[in-house]
Amino acid sequence: MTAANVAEGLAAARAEVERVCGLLVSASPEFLDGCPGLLQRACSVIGEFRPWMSEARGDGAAFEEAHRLQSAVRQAARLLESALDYHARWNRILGAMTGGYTERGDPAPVIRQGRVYLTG
Amino acid sequence: MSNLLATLGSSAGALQAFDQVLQVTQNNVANASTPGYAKQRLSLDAQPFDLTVGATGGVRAGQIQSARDQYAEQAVRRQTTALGEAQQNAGSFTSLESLFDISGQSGIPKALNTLFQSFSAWAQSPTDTIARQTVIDRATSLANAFQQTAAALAGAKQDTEQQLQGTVDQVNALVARLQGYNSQTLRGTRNDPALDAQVNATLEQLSQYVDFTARQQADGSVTVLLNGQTPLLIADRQYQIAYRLAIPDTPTYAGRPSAQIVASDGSDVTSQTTGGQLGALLDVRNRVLPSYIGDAYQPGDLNTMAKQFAGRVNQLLTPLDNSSGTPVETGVALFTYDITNDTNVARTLAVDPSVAAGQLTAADPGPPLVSNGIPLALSAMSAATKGADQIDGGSYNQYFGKMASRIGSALNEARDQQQVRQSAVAQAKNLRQQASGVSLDAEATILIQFQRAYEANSRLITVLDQITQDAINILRP
Repeated sequence: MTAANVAEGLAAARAEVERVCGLLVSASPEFLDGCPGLLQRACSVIGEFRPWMSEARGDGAAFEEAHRLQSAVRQAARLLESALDYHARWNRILGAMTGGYTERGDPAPVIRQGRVYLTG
Repeated sequence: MSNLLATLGSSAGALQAFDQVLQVTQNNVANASTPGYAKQRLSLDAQPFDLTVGATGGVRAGQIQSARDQYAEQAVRRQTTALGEAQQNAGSFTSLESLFDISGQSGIPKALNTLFQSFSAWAQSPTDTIARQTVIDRATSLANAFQQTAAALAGAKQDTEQQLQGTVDQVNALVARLQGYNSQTLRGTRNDPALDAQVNATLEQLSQYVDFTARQQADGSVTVLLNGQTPLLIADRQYQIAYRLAIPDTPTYAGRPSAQIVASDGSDVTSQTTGGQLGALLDVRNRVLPSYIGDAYQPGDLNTMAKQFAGRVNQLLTPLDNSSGTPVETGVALFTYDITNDTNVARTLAVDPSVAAGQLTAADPGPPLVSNGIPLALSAMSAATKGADQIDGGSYNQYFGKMASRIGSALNEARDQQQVRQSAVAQAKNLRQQASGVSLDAEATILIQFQRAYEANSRLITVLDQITQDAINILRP
């Protein structure tokens, strides 16, 4: 395995993570469900050439590609965080709207009764 | 018979109700591409059904309710504010970065290196007039480089001030537009989807400039508060903000005034004005630029470097001769600058025009006397092995490098943020779209789905981030 192979592998992993970023921008439950598969694939791609990575030590192209991958991973993390923040805040508002506030002044938890909800 | 009429009446009511539903739907379709338009929906209320009292049931149209999810709107505005800040930072830092070239090919680093080279050459030929003249020429180049950098930073400060004024004007103009919409609403134009669309589009525009909260009141008007505190708009009354420059009552330095944002009652609301383009501009004007060229509280790193360097060179060029028992200053000082104002050193740094090459003294009187002791000591400043030759614990080149890297890191961060925020705005707009028209039951289910998806993705991203960091550590040159 050459340094060029390592750089290619990292680029392939980045492509998967960038697809995750694309899905996270939509942030619907269906799209979010598609992300773990892509993320696992990115992990597997890196895992495949991990044993030979030390042979590419000091290679500028591979090092730059690793940084680009890190940047993509961090962007995915921030997008996931911002979607989570959106729903967490909305969940609190829903709680306050439907259940009021607790004794400590926090919004009450949203009460979800057991029910089947079908969409079609 | 009466029951039949009542039933027919109920059916007619239902038909009217459904007709209104169709009208609302038609309006939604017509406005599908109107900026800021939110889907309207008509609530249908069930009528009581009790034939014994003549209540025939059926359905009637309720009040038209906007499906716009104020929360989702707010989320879009929050992300737009963050994007506005990142874009402004990226623009400001890009222009500042060009002033701090660390390649050594231009500006202060190049002038500093060539001056050090001229000191070395002078040490090899201490009596050579040409070598001394070269020292004067190179010192002049360095002084010019300091002056040019200081002038460019002062120019950046002026640009930022103009942008601040323009942004404040823009904020006031947008709030004035909202004031007009509020007036229309208060005159009775409520539930007008076109007006609602205009209000939301204007609020979205405003959000790129400042961080604010907007709340729809019971009378339909929108209240806008700067950072949730300072009123910008209440009902049909606008509270304009203003921009001014102000010097504190007890300044430590005779530096430049700070930029302030003032509320309509004259109070200083600068500290509340964070986020958006306005927040970013204030940060550049009041924090970033003063850290280089000073203000009322600090001399600024560029001035500190210029003063310390010029002071050290002058000190070495004017050694004391103790051979007679009475210390006598020999040689001449090379650099001059405004000694009354520490925030004005870089801008006024110059080589004393009265100094001639022959006046530069190379001999260090010691004892023991060293014929080229002065240029040797001057040359040693580049290595900064002595404490007196150091600035902030390092060499002058390192100090300049730190100044440059501050801007470089800030620019990288701003560019990263800009990219992420662009995606986050798109994400917030998608989430707004998804929230529109979703029932609370459906939403509760979606929130559970989201929770599960977040947990799964978050674990994988953490793992991926870790293995990527490992890869960087292994591949690092």
